[in-house]
Amino acid sequence: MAQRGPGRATPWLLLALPLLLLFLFLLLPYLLTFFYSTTGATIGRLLNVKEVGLKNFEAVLSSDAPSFLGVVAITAIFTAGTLLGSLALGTGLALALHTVTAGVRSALLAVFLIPWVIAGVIIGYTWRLIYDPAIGLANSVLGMVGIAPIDWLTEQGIALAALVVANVWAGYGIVLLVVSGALANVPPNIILAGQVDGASYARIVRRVILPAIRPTFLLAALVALVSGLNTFDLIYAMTRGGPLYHTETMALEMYRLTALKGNVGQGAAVTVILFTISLALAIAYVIIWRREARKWS
Amino acid sequence: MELVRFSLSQRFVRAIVVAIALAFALLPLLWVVSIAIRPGTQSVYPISIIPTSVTLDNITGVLFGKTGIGLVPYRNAAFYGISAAVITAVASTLGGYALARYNLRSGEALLIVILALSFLPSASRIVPLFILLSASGQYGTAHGVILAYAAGATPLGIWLMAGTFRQIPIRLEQAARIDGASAFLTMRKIVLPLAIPGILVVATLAFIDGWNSFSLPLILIPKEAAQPYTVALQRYIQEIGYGINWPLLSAGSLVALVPVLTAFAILQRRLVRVGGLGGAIRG
Repeated sequence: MAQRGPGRATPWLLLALPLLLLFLFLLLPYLLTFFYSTTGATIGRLLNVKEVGLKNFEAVLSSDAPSFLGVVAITAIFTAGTLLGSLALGTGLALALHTVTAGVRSALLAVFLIPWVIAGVIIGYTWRLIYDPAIGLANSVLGMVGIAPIDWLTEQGIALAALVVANVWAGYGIVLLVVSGALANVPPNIILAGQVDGASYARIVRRVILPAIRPTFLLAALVALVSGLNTFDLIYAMTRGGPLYHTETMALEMYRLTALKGNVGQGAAVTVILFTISLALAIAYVIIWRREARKWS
Repeated sequence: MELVRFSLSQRFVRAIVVAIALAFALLPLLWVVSIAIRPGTQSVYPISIIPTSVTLDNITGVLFGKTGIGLVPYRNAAFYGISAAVITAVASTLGGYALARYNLRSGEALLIVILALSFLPSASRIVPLFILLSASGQYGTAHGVILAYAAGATPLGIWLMAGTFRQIPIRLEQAARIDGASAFLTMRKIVLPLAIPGILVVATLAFIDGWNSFSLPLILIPKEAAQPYTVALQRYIQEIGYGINWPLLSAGSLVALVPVLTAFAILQRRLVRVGGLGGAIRG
């Protein structure tokens, strides 16, 4: 059907503008990154660059202050913390809201989604204020129960955890939204059947509801994973990687090497590493989603 | 109707869970509001939870005062947001219509690759875009940043618009054509009016992206006069000595929330539905 209209060229004519935009500003930048990661380019010298093979990768991997292994570990902790926090809070809340009436649910959903539309930097400033040693809410609340003030963002062992809490605040809404959507599609019959059989609610959740939403849950996890991995604005606004690189993730390292040190080649090498990991996750995401979409259609 | 009948104690637990979550969601924002609307002399240690007096001085100070950032950074952000919204809406409508009305296997496959790329947040494009724009002599221009955000929002936009167009019966178009309307007239009078809700959502999502932009302008636009509020507000943060002007920074942040929260409130129902799609794109 549908091959009407002036001819076979029409759809490609329609697609020309969007494809040009996507090629120039989405695809080409990444292709360039791969190219530059093997060159000795600096901010002052982006043309006529020297080919250096894999030297940038060697330099990045063997760097210290901060050590790349440390950066990877911090990225992993930050991402895992964000992932677990967002999934637990988002799914738990979705389950709690699943059992209230639809009107109340959509009103509450709207409130929980507010952080979704706020700029990452503003979220960063908001939480930096919460953690402020003098006028922050966190220490004020602790003070009320008689606990001494804490230097949330400047204490080496605490800063990363403090960032994770802020990033969970920024990200759990989307998990809640996605899981809520999936819960709404679980056939009521199978839940009612469980009740008739006398199963407790906790048991129904574990045995009936969670298995039914497993694919969506997986997708939400991948989204949270990729966004945790690439978080830049929030960390930049809150700690800029400090104290002493204790919150320096790969996304910040990429920025530091390129914009602050001017070493475009090494910055590109970090970008390639981060990109490869993210792309693998994104492809897994699309594959799972396609499989599920086909199953349900 | 409630799906599951809970006992009284189960209801109680549920209420507590929701109440704690609400506190977690709202208290940080309320704290920003409370710092923004209290006189600067009250934003000192030890701080009272509830401000004892209320003032608009911080907000007018940010917008018009001597130490303020002025209206220009907000205008710049609005310019980035609106431009990105218009470009995204046009590109997504064209692409979405092509995918919905023509049987394009290769096009669909291509879109999936691009969709995967667009899931990578803009931070991973900072370095490549810096290289691209510098190498092509476009470093420091606003349109580079705008096109970058539009390109980031377009894959999802195309996807959403294809869904929107698929819901418009093709018979409507065929009927108009049989009645003698040109392809252009059919598009303008029949198809586009029905697609407006979808276009609005796509444009709003792109606007929010552009309005919230930070990392790209931070690096790609060195000129202060062209920077958005996200970058301009940094002047209230002195990294050394932790001198942060919280009253003005909070007031400036608060002003920045007004447009996005308004857009969100108006389109909330639609955005929530699409967000489910966008977050975990479901066919």
